[in-house]
Amino acid sequence: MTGAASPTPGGQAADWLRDLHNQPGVDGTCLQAGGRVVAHDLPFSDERAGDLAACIERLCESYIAVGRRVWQVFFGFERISVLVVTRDSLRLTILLRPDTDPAKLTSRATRLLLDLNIAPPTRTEPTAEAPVTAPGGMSRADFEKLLTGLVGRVIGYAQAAKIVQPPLQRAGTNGSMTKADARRIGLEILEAIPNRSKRAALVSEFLHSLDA
Amino acid sequence: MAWRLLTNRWMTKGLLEVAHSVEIRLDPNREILSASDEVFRPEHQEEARTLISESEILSDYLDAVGYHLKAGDLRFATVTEAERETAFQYDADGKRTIRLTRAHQGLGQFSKP
Repeated sequence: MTGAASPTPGGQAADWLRDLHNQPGVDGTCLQAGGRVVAHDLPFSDERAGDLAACIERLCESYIAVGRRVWQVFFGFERISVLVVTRDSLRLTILLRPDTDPAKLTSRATRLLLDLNIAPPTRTEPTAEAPVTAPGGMSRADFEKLLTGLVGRVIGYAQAAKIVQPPLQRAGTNGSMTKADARRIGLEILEAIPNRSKRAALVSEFLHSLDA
Repeated sequence: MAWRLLTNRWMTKGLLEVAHSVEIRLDPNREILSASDEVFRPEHQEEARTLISESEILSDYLDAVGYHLKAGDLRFATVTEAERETAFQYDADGKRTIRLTRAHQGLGQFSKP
């Protein structure tokens, strides 16, 4: 069993996770801030716990990217069930034996998240003065976030960032972009999605978001 | 097929405005086998398609989680948000059931099929 990834506040988190782990039916817990594992007691290596945390973060981000604030996700496989409770950028993942009632753990997990004093990870926001958005257009940062969120669902966020950046740099957008530019560049980026039906669906969602 | 998740705008003016709960049952080809009456109303078909797409997207994400856990096939998922809960059941034969509920009704609706 692996301990906390950092002594403080990870140390405090590790203590609380241990308490959670002692509940009947719990096979492991993992607390993460964004994609970063704060503490875990999963029966895996730290690396594998990190991979799991990345998957959980992609799942949560896919909802957040379209404005949906998910409180908890509970899902089950043949051999294990998983409860994910979220607060801001914190995600608490609890592995459960399949016959365990998650309701008994939800309140405890929620309380733990509320009591934890962990600063959310700082997002990479531009530090320069806020760009002036063109009338009817959008800021480059918003555009990047939207496209990375969409493309990331299909190919992962790291790869998505690599696909989104070059067309933006070629276009030379500076802080803000017109709606027409956003549409043109966005469609160009989405052309990189190999699966036709997924590409069509993402294009549909992109255009909807642009018009919203 | 539309392939997008619901936005907040739709969440406040959609199926849950006319029904406390709706259910959609799908065959392995994602065609509707049966569904609540509200799902077939023209004004709600876009949202229904979105729910079906969400079942697809969610299973993609959760399959990745299952891969890391070596946990076997996905059986069910429940997503809880403010004032709504969406439950998905994934049957071994490829059929699916989606249940959208207005309020938080408790987790694990499909945990004991």
